[in-house]
This record gives sequence, C-alpha cells and structure tokens, in this order.
Amino acid sequence: MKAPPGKPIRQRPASWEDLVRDPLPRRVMAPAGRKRRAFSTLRTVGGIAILCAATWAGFELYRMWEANPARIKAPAQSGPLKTITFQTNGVLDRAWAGRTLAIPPGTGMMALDLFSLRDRLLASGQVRAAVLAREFPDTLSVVVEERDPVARIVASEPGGAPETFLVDRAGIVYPGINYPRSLVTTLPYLAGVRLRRVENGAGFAPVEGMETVANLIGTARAYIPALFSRWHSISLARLAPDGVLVVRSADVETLVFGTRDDFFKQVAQLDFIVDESRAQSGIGPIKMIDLSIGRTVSGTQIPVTYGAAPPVPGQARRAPAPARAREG
Amino acid sequence: MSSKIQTIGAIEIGSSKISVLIGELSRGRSLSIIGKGWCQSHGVVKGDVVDLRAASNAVHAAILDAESSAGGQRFDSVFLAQTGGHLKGFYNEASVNVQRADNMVTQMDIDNVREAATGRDLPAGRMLVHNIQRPFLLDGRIVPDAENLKGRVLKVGYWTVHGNQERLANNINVIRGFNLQVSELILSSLASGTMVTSPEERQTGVIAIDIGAGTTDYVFYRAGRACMTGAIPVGGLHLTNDLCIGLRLTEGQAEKMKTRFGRGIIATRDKNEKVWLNGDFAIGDRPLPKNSIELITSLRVAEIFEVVKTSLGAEFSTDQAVSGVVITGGTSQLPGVADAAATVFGLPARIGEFPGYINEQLRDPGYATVLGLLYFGLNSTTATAASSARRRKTGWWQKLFAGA
Repeated sequence: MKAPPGKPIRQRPASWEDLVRDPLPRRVMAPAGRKRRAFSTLRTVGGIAILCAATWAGFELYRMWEANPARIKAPAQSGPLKTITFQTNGVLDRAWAGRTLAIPPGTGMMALDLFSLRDRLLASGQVRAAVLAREFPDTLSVVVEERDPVARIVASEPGGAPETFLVDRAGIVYPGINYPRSLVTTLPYLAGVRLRRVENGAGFAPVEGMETVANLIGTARAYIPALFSRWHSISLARLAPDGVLVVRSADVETLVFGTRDDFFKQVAQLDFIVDESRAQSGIGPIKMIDLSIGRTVSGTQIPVTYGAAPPVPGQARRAPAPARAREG
Repeated sequence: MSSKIQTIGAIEIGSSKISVLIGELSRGRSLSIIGKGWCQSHGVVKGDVVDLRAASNAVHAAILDAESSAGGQRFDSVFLAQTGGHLKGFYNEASVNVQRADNMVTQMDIDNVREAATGRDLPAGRMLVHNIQRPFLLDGRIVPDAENLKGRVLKVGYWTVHGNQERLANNINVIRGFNLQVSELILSSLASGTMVTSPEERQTGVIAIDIGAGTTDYVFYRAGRACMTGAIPVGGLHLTNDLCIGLRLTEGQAEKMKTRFGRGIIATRDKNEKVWLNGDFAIGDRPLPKNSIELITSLRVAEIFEVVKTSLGAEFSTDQAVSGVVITGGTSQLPGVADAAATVFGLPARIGEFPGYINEQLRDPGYATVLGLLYFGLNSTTATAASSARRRKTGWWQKLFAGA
C-alpha cells in the first residue's frame, strides 16, 4: 500500500483478532470439536451437492424444454392404462364400471381426466361418492360408495313406459342396477309424490320427506317384520299438510302414522291391535287404524274401523268399539 | 435458517463456573435468549486457563448443555468474556486541526484523530483487547458526534486495554477447539457493567464492580461512556482461602461458612457468639466464633475495594461518580458488601439489579457478565456496522465524484 505524501504508514498494533485468524494447531482441537467440524463440513458439502444437483436438473429441464417441450410430458404419458380395479360397498360390479367409464383402449395414464370420469360414475345416481386414483404404472383404482334404497317409485320418462325407480334415504331417485329381485320386491312403493325433473332433464329432483319415511320403514322392518312384509305403499300426500304417512297393506287396508310421535310406540300399538283383533272372534277385518290420534290422559284410544263381520247364525251383530291400547 | 435470524452464543470462562447463553437476534433488533448452560470450571485459575484440556472439557460440556436447552439449536460464533490480572490499560489522546476552510469537521478529520489516538505501540508480547473511546472534544466542548460540527481543534481520548498474548490465545483456543469462531472478545467488566447500570447512571458517573470467584473486574463510567476498566486477580475464592487458613477449615467447609455467615462488614459484636461448623454434632463438628468469620471476610472485601480504588488512581473522585458504586458477581451476594463499598469509596453503593426485561431464571448476579456479553456485543457490532456503512457512504466513491 502506498502512503499518501507526507503521511507515513503506521503499523497497526497487534490485536486479539490476529489470534482468531491464525491457523489452529492440530493438537488444540478437541475430539468433540473435530466431530463438530466434520459434521459442519458434511453439512456444507451436502448443501452444495444438493444445490448443484438442483441447478443441473433445472438446467437439463430447461434444455429439454427448449429442444422439444413434448418430451417433458412424454415419459408420463407413455404408459397406457391396462387394468381397472373396482371396490364397492354395494351391488355394482367391475363390468358396470368399465361400461360407465368408457375409457378407450390404449389411453395413457396421464391422459385420464379423473374429474370427468368421477362425474360419469356419479351421474348414474346409484353412486353416492367415488374416488379414482392412478396407480402407476398401468392401473386405475376406482372405489365407490353406493346408496341404500329404502323404497321404490313408479315413474315414466317423457313418452316412455312407466318404470320402477329406487329412492334412498336422502330422497334421491335412481334406476337400481344389479339389485337382486328379492331385495327390490320387499321395498314398499311410494305414493302421493309428484316427481319433478331436474332442470337439465337428466333424472328427478329428490323426494322431500324421505328421511321420515325411511325412519318409519326402518322401525317397522326391525320390530314388526311380518306385518311390514305385507305393506304395499306409503303415501306422502298428507305428509306436508297433516303430518301423517298413510300406509296401504294387505292386513289393514289403511294405516295412518303420525310423524309428530315416536314411530316405535306406534308400531308397537299396531302390533297389539292386530293381535287383539285376530284373537277376537265375530268381528270383520280391520279397515283402518289411525295411530296418529287417540292419546288421552288415561291411556291411548286409537280409532279402529272394522269391515263387515261374516254373519254367524243365531247371533246378533256386535257393534265395533274403539280399541284401547295400554301404554307401558 | 433465515438470514434475518442470527444465533449467537455468549461464553464466560470463570474461575468457579462456566456460563453459556444462546441468543437469537431477529432482524438485528430484538434479542431472545433461547438456551442456557453451565458447568463447574476446571483448569482456570484467576481467570486464566492453566490446563487447556480440563478447561476445554468443561467449556464444551457447558456449550452442549446450552445447545440442548435450546432444542438442539447450534451456533457458530461466540462473544467471549475476557478477564484476568494480565489485562492492563492506558489512556492516550490526540488532537488534530480541522482541515476544511469553513472549519466544518469531516469524516476524514475524525479518522485522523482516531488513528493518532489509537496508534500508540504496545509493549512486546502484548495484544490489543479493546480501544474504548471517550467523547470527542471540539474546542474543549464534549460532543458525542463531531461530524459536520464547526470548530478548530478536534480531540479524542482512548482507554486502551491490552493483555498478554499467550494468555489471550489460551482463552480463545478453548473456544476454537470446539470449532467455534470468536466474533467478539469483550471485557467482563464492560459486559457486566452494561447489565447492572442504567444509561442515566453512566451519564452522571458510576463505578461497576463485578466480584467473581477468581478476579474482580471494574469499570468506571463517565459522561455515558466507559472511561476506565481494570481487573484484579482477587475474588471470592480468596475469602474462602482466608477462612481456610484463619479457621483451619477444609475448602468445602470454608465455602459453606462463607456463604452462610460471611459478611462485607462486621455485624456481630459479641466475640463469644459461636456457630457450629456442620451442625450435626458428629465427630469433627465444632463451634467457630461468628465474629471471626465476619472479620476475615469483611477485611478481604474491604481490601478488594481498596485495591480497586487504588487502581482507579487519579481518575477517580467522588465528584466524578455521582451515581455511586454498583456491585455484582457471585460474591456480591454476601450481606453487607454494599455497605463495605460505601465505606471505602465514600459513595452510595448498591447491589446491581437487572433490567425488567430479563427473565426471572437469569436474574442471578452470576449471569451478569454472560448476559452483558450478548447485549453489549450486539450493541457494539450494530454500532460498528452502522459506522462502517456511514464510512462507505463518505469513502473513495464519494471522493471520486466530489469534484463533479
């Protein structure tokens, strides 16, 4: 360094900082210090290596992009779809999935539009939820959750013949696929429902009040299976105005269930009344039981209407009386 | 780790214990202490490393303890406390005539006067530890920052602290042996003085005395700056040693007697009042005169303060230290130490207290130095960075275009 004219170079006094800059004698470094230095060096070298690798990869990708952009996608698209695995909690099968998805043969794995394929599955109505996933190298995994039907309904497409549809607990109307006949025939029909088409014309709007109907069906199926198996239809016509469900069955022509009361108590009362009526002789078949009314302070007076009794020679006809069902 | 967060360690290698704190500095402003560790000292006598291996093992154990308490957070640079009887200081001042025709002080004038004041050669085998600047005097007036003020003669003084080259190297090598870099070597007295005195006290004049186990460090503040520092190789262990000799006790017994009954001034006038050595009435237990214990400790404490007062020399006068004496360090926990200091110096004296922002777990006089290392070190590095940034602004680049 050249000094300015008239100003001598002054020697800087020795400072402790010179000690820090001096090389450290080998024997002064403690074993723990050596380990620490090795770890630190390793960390630095590793960091530099990762940085270099990332830079090189970026550079290679950039070069590939510059030369032929299609090559970047090519490796992913090169594997075609070969297998579709299918899992469900219901009755649909792999063949149905194949027909519904309608994936052209030879389609590449990366060319699959999973969202559109999922929409195709959901469009059937029978599928509540679907999960599709690519399982490389060549498999599409499909997992679906199906709806549980609780009733059936007859409706007709415009200009078509009447068809039977199934209805689930949420009121979704869908054509049941692959259900065994023995299951479908046990489902009661819905009556008194005006089905509305959805705006785009594909399918029907959900049936309102199906949650209540499903509760009644579930209770009856569990506690009075014999009587329930002879139920024909459940009418929702009086559900909104009166809060009652009207059931037509082979045993009792008309059964009226109130929705404001517990269904369990009502089906128990129904079971009692039918048993009592069958035990009595000289009375006609029961025409109607209205379980939605009849509660009094001392118990429950349920109006039961009987049909004409078969004539018994030499005995006067007995007038039908309201049945008394004891609570508890 | 983000570059906006800096992790720094502070280490004090004391004669009785080694303390380590880890601080996290966010954006150069807020300091959080995230870890602390300590270890009983080995291989250190009166602040000097006498057994490198033993001292290294103890320091490294304390560092690992601190890193463990900080959740495994490692640090690479260290603020290291420096003490020891080999540290000496001298005062040197220089003055220059302001060069500009309009008598406005420029950065060049400041650089010139600083260079002249700090350029004094050191004796052989000595190394610079600190150059503590006193306020500028511009035509005899005290000015904190002289740049762009008008005047004729600019004067500045430095208190230069230097130490024995080998002893400094031993201290630094203990840290470097653990693959850590010493980024600042800070006098223990400056570190602890920063923590226990307030800016107002430093402005009006105060003496901070840190009585450690092996050494006693002191700093004399005037006009807001440290104007004199020193370290004497006498500390709390000497009180223990005096009790060993005077009462024929082992070192452990003497240490126990010191902490239980030692005092800075004599409070027990009854010479027949006894205290039991162990208190278990077993073989070896014996009564000791309480007055003797107090006499021995108080004499040594008074002697320490006398030595400090003598070391301050002509610089010290009661008029210059209006805020009195503040005492810290492990030995300051003996009752009556402040009264002894007040008697010797003829000034009000108190035991140092930490600022309110210090965590409850660290409010122990033994942590004063290591806490001060973090705060003083960060302040000084920030000030240095600001000064060099300002210097760059007025450096050759600006001079090159000055004509234009």
